[in-house]
Amino acid sequence: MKNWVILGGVLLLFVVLVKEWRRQRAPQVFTTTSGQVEMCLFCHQEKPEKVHAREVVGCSPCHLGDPLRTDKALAHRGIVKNPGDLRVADRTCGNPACHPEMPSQVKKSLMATNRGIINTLRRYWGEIPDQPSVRPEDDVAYLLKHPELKSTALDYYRKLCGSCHLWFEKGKFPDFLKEKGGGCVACHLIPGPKEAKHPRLTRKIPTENCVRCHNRSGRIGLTYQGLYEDEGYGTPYLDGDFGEEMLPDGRFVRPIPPDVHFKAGLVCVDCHLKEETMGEGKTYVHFEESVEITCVACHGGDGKTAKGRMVPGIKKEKGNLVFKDKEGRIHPLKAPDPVKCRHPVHRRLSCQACHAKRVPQCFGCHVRMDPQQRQTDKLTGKETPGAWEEFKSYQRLTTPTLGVKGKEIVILVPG
Amino acid sequence: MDPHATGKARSCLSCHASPKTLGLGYGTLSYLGKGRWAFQSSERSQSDLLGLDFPLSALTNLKGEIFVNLSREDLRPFNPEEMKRILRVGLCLKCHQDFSDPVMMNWRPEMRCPVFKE
Repeated sequence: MKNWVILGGVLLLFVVLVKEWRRQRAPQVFTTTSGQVEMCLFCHQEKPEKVHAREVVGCSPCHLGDPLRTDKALAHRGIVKNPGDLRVADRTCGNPACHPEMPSQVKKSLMATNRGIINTLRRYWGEIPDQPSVRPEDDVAYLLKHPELKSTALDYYRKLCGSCHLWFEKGKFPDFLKEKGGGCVACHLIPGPKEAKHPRLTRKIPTENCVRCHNRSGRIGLTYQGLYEDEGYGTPYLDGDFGEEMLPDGRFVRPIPPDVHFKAGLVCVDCHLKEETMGEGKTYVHFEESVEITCVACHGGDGKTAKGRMVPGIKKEKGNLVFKDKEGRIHPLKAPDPVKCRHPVHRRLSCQACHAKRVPQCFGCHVRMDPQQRQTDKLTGKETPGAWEEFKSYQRLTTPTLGVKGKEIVILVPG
Repeated sequence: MDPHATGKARSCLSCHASPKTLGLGYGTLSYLGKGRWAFQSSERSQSDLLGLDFPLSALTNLKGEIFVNLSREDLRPFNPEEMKRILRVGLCLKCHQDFSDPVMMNWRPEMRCPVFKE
């Protein structure tokens, strides 16, 4: 008996010694510049951009995990690949030392809630009263928590619209959907240099990040860049291939004159303020309640938005207002024509009514649901019965139809 | 909505003589005199497949009947009176082509054309 105990003890000692021999020990205690122990830096060489420098921030404030461990399994417990995901953003980007006010504001923004899309769709389809109102259930976060909430309009939303919101999990779905969503990083992430092995976060949001979503319905993201999604099926065919540019989702686009602001090098966030894109902590039903930039804020106005905020790019130079874009380029600001634009007969006209010469228009847009087929619910990731398909009778790029909104003449677009 | 297609302004005629811009849809407008207009749509008046009884590009007609639902409560197509006022200017554009013309530049609602017989 005594021998067995000794043998067991020797074996145990042997196992412990082997384990200890194989254990990788850090040569030093790794700390950030503020003195926080960050042992992740022992293994990880990734280099984010300067603002989130590894030596200053470390890894765990963003990616969580246990920064005191060097054992991979223990260190990676609770780790998140995408700190921008709204499910964890309160503890990552929004932690008290970084951007604490942002997650709650962003979660209320229309890009996170999709409230306008959901509310309008359900009203159109007669599922809720025909008065726009703030309803808690018209919110992606609510639908994610309540998969049992079902209706025809919600089924359509979940399957065809459900990939264009900030709760969409980046990388969860294949093909072109892979790049969409991701919460904060849906907008703020750009590729980093290869040697950095880490993407970069930026406040200079490139247009392509916005257009990953803003390319359907009114097609504003495409039109702005001078692209028109036409019905040419890729014609003219050239050298045995399609002669037109193809979007990541397979739609064909052809070049048209871009917006003058695009030609001047402006990106979406040069005009659109952070309060519009990331929300200002208020709940809105429609985008026009959130959008505050106006043409006259820069052209002939005092540099203030419709909500009285100063447009960040507006600067005063030699007594005149100029616009400084995100790249630091200075643009002179042209005032509206004193006769054509200011004539009393045109006092009701919005600037766009005259200055937007073309808009894609889809006539006879309709949808069809085939109950025999199955389609993926983009909120749950599961296939459910019923597949939706969109159709149009015909589409044209032509001068817009005008109509009246309140006291203003505005552009009306079908589809 | 803002199409994000900002550029040089569209022509006066593209609004003041265009049934499509007014919300009538693609077709031909004819002036019948005494402020009366006729519109002939270039599309079929019905779309059986979609179950619609109006031309696809039309929002309204000269009588002011509205064919489509718009996405906001305070949004509407032009009414017959507004359409008449807009189209009346289109008749002037033959001679007074744009705001470089002193008549257009200084136009007031009470002014009457000495040449054109209503």
